[in-house]
Amino acid sequence: MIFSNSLEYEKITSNLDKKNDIITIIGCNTCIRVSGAGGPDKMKELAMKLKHDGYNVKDGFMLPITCMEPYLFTVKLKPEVNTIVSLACTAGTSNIKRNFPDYKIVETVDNIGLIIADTNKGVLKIAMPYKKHESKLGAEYPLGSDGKNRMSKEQIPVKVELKTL
Amino acid sequence: MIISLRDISYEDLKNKLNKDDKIVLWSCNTCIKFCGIGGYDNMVLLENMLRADGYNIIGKELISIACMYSLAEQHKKSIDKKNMFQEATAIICLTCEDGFETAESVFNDKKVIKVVKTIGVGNFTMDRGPILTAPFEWTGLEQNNQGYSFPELAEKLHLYPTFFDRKEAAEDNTDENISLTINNKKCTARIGMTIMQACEANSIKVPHLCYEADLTPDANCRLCLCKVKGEKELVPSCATPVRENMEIITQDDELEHARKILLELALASHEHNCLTCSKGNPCIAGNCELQSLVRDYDIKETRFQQNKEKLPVDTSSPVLVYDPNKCVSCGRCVRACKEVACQNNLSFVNRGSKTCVAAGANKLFNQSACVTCLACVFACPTGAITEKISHFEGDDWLETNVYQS
Ligand code: SF4
Ligand code: SF4
Ligand code: SF4
Ligand code: FES
Repeated sequence: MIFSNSLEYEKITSNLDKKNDIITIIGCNTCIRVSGAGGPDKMKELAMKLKHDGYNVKDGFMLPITCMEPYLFTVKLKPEVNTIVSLACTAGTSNIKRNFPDYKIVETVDNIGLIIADTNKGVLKIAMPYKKHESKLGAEYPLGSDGKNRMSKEQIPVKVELKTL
Repeated sequence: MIISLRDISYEDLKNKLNKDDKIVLWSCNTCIKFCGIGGYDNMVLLENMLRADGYNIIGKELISIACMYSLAEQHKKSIDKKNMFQEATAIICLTCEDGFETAESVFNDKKVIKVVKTIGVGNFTMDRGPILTAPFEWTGLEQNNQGYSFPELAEKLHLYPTFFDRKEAAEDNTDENISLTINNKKCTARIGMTIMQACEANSIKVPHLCYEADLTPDANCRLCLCKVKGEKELVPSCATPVRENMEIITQDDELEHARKILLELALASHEHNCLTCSKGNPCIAGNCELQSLVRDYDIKETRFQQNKEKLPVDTSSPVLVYDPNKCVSCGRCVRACKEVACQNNLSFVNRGSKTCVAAGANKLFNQSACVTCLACVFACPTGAITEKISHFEGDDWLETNVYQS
């Protein structure tokens, strides 16, 4: 599974224009929901906040898996929309960028790396981080906590190490 | 999805094994399946290759999501599989490296063998299959939304773009093959195959609904019934093993008539509405097998009285929608939840015409022990359990179901 953490709200809005951007949100309901940086509740929260702050958010689509083209093809954008806020990991966002080349695409998360999950204990463990998050190798977080409340004691007994080719 | 390519040759794999190893193949049904390395069919292929080369495969285990430590542990401890895992000395992992690390720690007393290199995340595309868009930095590749295709990656990173090739292993041991006739045609099959598997191996299509290759047969839909010379009753192809010199008929007027009636009864059991049902269009989770059978049999309407009672649709799960009105009680979801997810969260409730599938102790999905792994969605041959695709709009950001088109 892929682990992503939300960007600061101000970082997201710094890429949005209240006057000209007519926005739809495309969200993913898999890894990013488990991470806590996406999913239906997070999408509603972000949409309401943006609307409240005066951004022109038209609607949103929650897809089961956004990194797979067949699912992305179910999105029907309104003709006036010109901006897509992607509530998906880097992989989902690449898929959106490739398939909607004429739209402004705004990202909302940072990809940390790959995780191992334990749904009985409700814990995620970082197993294969991207370089800039290497220090988080082996770190554990509660399921859906969006990278907050790092656990102090190991819960998932899997030995992880940095990979090279 | 996570992108992984095979990084060992078939020879290298054999070098890691001993002839006296008791081997279990362990695979995941998520990303790695779409990378062409995991999934049930590849386990069968590798099993046949290794068997032909004299290795002892004692079992195959498919896991809905192999990087879930809790699921992997549940598989290891499940009553049906405990003995197999205790006996095993080697586990070949057809999973990504994330799933491999999980398996390595769950089976820390065994030789756990990895066959892939995981190189980042990417997309599943319609025209190029899996592509890598966000590589790990150690690959030396830049992030690229257009993505790198498998042949390109294999060349750049010295990996293999495809799964093991059947031709690399010895020929099938012909001693194990038997001869039989299917629809008056001479065929061969392997000992232990069911009639359904023998038909598939000989390119003969037998209609089926409750059968799925990676699940235990249950023989409840009766669509695959066929005639076997010497048997008084019709036999279910999906659950009857082949025998030497068996003479089988899978298709004649009588069988086709019976199948048509069964399909009409399935359609009459509830009000199906194919025009607005999301399973009417092919998607990653497959298309509606009931609808394709209805088309194959040219059924325009059912002659039986349709049950118009509307049962409530359960949309409580964040990832799936359960519409009991479209359930044909084939039990594939129940078996998938037990065997692939190892969750045992689904079962049949009620009796007779009221029989239907329920989560937990007849609860809503979000009140059950569902781990949202989608194994049941992938197994369901109708529009009864589908992935949830929602559209949000309005002042309160109201959620509506989206129908695929
Ligand atoms: S489940 Fe299949 S047969 Fe039933 S309405 Fe949906 S597409 Fe039609
Ligand atoms: S009911 Fe939940 S746990 Fe069981 S197969 Fe379906 S999604 Fe997986
Ligand atoms: S929900 Fe789908 S898989 Fe489960 S019994 Fe009904 S038709 Fe079969
Ligand atoms: S497929 Fe054999 S009885 Fe259903």
